[in-house]
Amino acid sequence: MSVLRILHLEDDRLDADLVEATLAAGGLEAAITRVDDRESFRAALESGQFDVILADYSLPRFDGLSAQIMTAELRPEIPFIFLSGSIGEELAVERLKDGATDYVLKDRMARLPSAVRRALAEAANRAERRHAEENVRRLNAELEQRVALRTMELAESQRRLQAILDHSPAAISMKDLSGRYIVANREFERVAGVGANDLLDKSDADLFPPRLAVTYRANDARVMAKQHGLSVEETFLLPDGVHVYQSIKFPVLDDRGRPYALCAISIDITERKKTDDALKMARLEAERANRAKSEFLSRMSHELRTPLNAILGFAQVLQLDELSDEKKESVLQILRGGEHLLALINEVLDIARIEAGHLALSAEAVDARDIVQLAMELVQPLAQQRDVSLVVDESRAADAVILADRQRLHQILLNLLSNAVKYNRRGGRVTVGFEEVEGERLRIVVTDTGIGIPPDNLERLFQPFERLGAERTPVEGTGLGLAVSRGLAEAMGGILGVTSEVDRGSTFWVELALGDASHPRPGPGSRSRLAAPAESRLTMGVVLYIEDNQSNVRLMERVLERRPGVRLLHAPSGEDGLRLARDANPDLILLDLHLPDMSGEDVLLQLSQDAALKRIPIAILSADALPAQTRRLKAAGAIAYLTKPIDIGQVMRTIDDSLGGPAPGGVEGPRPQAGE
Amino acid sequence: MSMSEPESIDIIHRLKNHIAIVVGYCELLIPEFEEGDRRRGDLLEVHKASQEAMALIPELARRVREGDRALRDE
Repeated sequence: MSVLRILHLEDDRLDADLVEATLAAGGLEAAITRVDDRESFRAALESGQFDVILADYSLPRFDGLSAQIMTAELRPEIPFIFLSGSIGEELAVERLKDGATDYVLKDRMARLPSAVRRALAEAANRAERRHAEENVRRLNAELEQRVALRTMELAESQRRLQAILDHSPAAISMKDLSGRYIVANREFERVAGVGANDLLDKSDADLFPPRLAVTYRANDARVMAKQHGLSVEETFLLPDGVHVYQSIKFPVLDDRGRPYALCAISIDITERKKTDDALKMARLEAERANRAKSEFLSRMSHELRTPLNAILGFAQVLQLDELSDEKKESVLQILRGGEHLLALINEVLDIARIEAGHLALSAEAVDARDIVQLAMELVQPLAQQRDVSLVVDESRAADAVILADRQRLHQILLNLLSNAVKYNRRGGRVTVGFEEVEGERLRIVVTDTGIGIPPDNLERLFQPFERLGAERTPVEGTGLGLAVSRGLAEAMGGILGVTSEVDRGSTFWVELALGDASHPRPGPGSRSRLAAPAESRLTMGVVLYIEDNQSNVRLMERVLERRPGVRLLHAPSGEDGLRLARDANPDLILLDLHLPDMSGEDVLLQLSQDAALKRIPIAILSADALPAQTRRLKAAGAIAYLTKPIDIGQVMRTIDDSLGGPAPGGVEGPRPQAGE
Repeated sequence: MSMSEPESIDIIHRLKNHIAIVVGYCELLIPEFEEGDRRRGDLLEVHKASQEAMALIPELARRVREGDRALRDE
């Protein structure tokens, strides 16, 4: 143990020596500072470092009680032991209660070392406890400081977050698992129609109309059940009316991945919905308009075809009769009027079909030269009439097999060629050539020597009804041909284009993919189609015509007057037709599809399923010319599908082919083409 | 390539023109043939059919107008 530093308040030197000796005897080496009055005691307390204070109770110039009080004020941590010969038991207890560490009577001096040791131990304990307490206080202070700092930081963070939330145009809120709001931004408060203080701890049922609250809760339940985000449309009732919001709702998870809240971010999409609705309405309106237009075109086509059949049919019959030149010209005008009507109807229908994407095409490998030749032959009479020469240049057509719908390609070429002739100058020329493009496509080029078209007008050419002023000229046309031709070319995966030079002429071209040259299919048309049936042939047999329209029946009677060996039977309904077929066993049946009691298709099926009748050839005569229907009825057994208005030459050939041998040729020609 | 209301009306106008030509030539030719001549009968058929076609035009025009009005009213 190190040397004890003792402050001894004692006036008697002998007593002081005794104390030192006693301590030494007790094993305590001490450095003792002895004082005997107030001033020296105070000075020692204030300047020195002491481990223990020993104080006599009664001194001539000072006293132990005052020393105890002074020590408690200045150095309360130093143990204070009264060492007195006069202090009584009662007084000693009182001093101990006031903070003295111990007391030792001078006549029992031997106790002093143990009393000092105990006092030192207690002082050490107190010092340690005090130190520990100071540590705790310091730590508490530090902790409080850190908490205050973190609280400040958190408050700052919260202010920043709240500022972001409050300036967001979205309504943002958070509810606890019981559905009570714990967070909301200003926009949500506006939507809910309450202030912040009125919103927290409220539920949807407290804030919104019942029907809406139920919806919100149902959406929340879906989110919580699936445990992932959900985007839903929700409606809110605001002062200016119902608003639609797109709400993204998601569960908020704690650090263990368990949901403890549900967050919703809602954006007002009312205006967008209105725009979407307006667009939807506009689209529906456009669709309705298209439907109405298609229905109009369809009605127009069907309703006009019946009278048109009679007009063209009887006009063709008249054309075959002996007539003066003047009357022949009038009949030709009637035919032209009918042809123009038919062309207009067909082209308008084509436009409607192209527009609606309902154009039925049958692509196959065809030799473009055959189709060009066929179109050239049809346009030849018009070219002769206008003194325009037609030339085909096959020098660059090593491979002219392309993938195309034969009938539609013919239609395009007929349009391009007839335009090239009609808009040419007298004595001009039309040249058809072929160019291979990049080894994959073939371009059929129609070049004229006409007046040409200014560059500004080139694209307008392909607008329906656009005739670029031609309506004020004698050149006839519907104004639809090029629009239809381009639509047809594009529907076949091709291109239709034009280049032109004013006063020098124009070049129109259609470009289509090359086909397999080893499999070009021969066309059904070509020259044989133009061959006229015989005027007087010995066709014999019975033809049954199942048709409810009396005008059509009378037309057929007039047509068959040129076949005296043919007897015509007429049935005005499907049932009558079936009965008459069984009774008369005809050699050919001409069958209309629109009958008053049943469809012509049903009649065809019943005839083809009847063992006694199925050998009779059946030709369909219909105003409908849908490719799918044509294919279906031919597959069901029809030998031919003739469209109304009828082409008398075609009807006669069908009858001749069914009732007799091939026609030897004659004077009946095909119906004049539009534009001739 | 869509067809507007004026274009629908234009189609109707053209149809009427073509039918009128047919009617006109029929009416010119019919008096040229005697009663009982089958050619007269053929012309009467053409005339009747062209009149039927002409009678369809106002109905078609009405449907076009009604269709457009119905769309505007919605």
